[in-house]
Amino acid sequence: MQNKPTKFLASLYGGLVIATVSSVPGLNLINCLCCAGIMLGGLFAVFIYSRQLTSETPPLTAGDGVILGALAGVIAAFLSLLLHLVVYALFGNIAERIIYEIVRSILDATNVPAEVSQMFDERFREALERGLTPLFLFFSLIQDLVLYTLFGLLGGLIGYAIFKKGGQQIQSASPAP
Amino acid sequence: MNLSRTTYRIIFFGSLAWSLAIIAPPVALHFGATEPADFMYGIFARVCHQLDSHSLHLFDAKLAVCARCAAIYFGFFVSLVLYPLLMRKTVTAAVARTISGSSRTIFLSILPILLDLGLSEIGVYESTLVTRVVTGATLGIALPFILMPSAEEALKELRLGLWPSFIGRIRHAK
Repeated sequence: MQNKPTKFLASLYGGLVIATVSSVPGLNLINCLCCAGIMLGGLFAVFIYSRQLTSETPPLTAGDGVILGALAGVIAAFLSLLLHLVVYALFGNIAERIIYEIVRSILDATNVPAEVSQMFDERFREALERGLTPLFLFFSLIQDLVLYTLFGLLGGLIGYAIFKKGGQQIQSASPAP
Repeated sequence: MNLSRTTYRIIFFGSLAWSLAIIAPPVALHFGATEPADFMYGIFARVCHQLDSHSLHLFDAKLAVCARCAAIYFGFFVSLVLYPLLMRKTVTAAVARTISGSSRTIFLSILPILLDLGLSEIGVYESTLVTRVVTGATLGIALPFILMPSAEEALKELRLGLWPSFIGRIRHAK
């Protein structure tokens, strides 16, 4: 029986999906639904990996799913930082401006008090003027590492449940007494 | 196969901590702790849009995530609490075994959210706080049945395979 293929390539693809979904303005709104974009990346990594397995290799396991999802999350955190810098260099604070426009239109439609609206404008202007500082990027990376790894791992587990072979039916479990 | 207590405890306390963190900002605001509340809102801003009109409120302040996300997380926690009880009853355990870990369960549990979002987006009807909570809770309640068997299997595998091989490599390097 052959050894399993390396997990890095599949995780890299998964990481690319997460980083792209999370960094492209507009597309990153997918993550507003419980990090669906991040979980999709973990799931995609498992999908790619399951396609690399043959009848000669050992089958896909839940451990593979966890490792692939978590690794995709770690890779995505660094790729996302890189993409964030590229998008910022090319377009400036475009993501923040899109979010501003969306929230602004909702505030206008819902007739919120003038002071709340004014406070929102001030906060956003401050954030736009502040731009990207090294400290912001560092904390952003830490947050991304934690969130992407956690949700990527969940995506990997869901991916395993979807892409495991039919014969590999996992049994439902209850805690030991 | 019995779900080990370790796996259950890890997921239970993780889910409990996450659910408490969602409630924490409005509670902090209620007691005047504005800065910790802002910090928590900032962290959850990365996982949710936090629109006030789409959120559940506690002490007149929104939760850290929107109503749909909150329903998913709280639904997951409640389902997790009930999970061992359900699995001990013969009838419910049989049903749970049939649905758990299957891709059809995953699709069916996500479907209500997709329908609610899709129909609302194309203007067939307006999604409300109730529809968001119900569709979110449906997914949240189903998730432990999808994740728990895989999580148990993964943890067992990692404990038996990955961890000893990692320790072995370190010893070998020394």
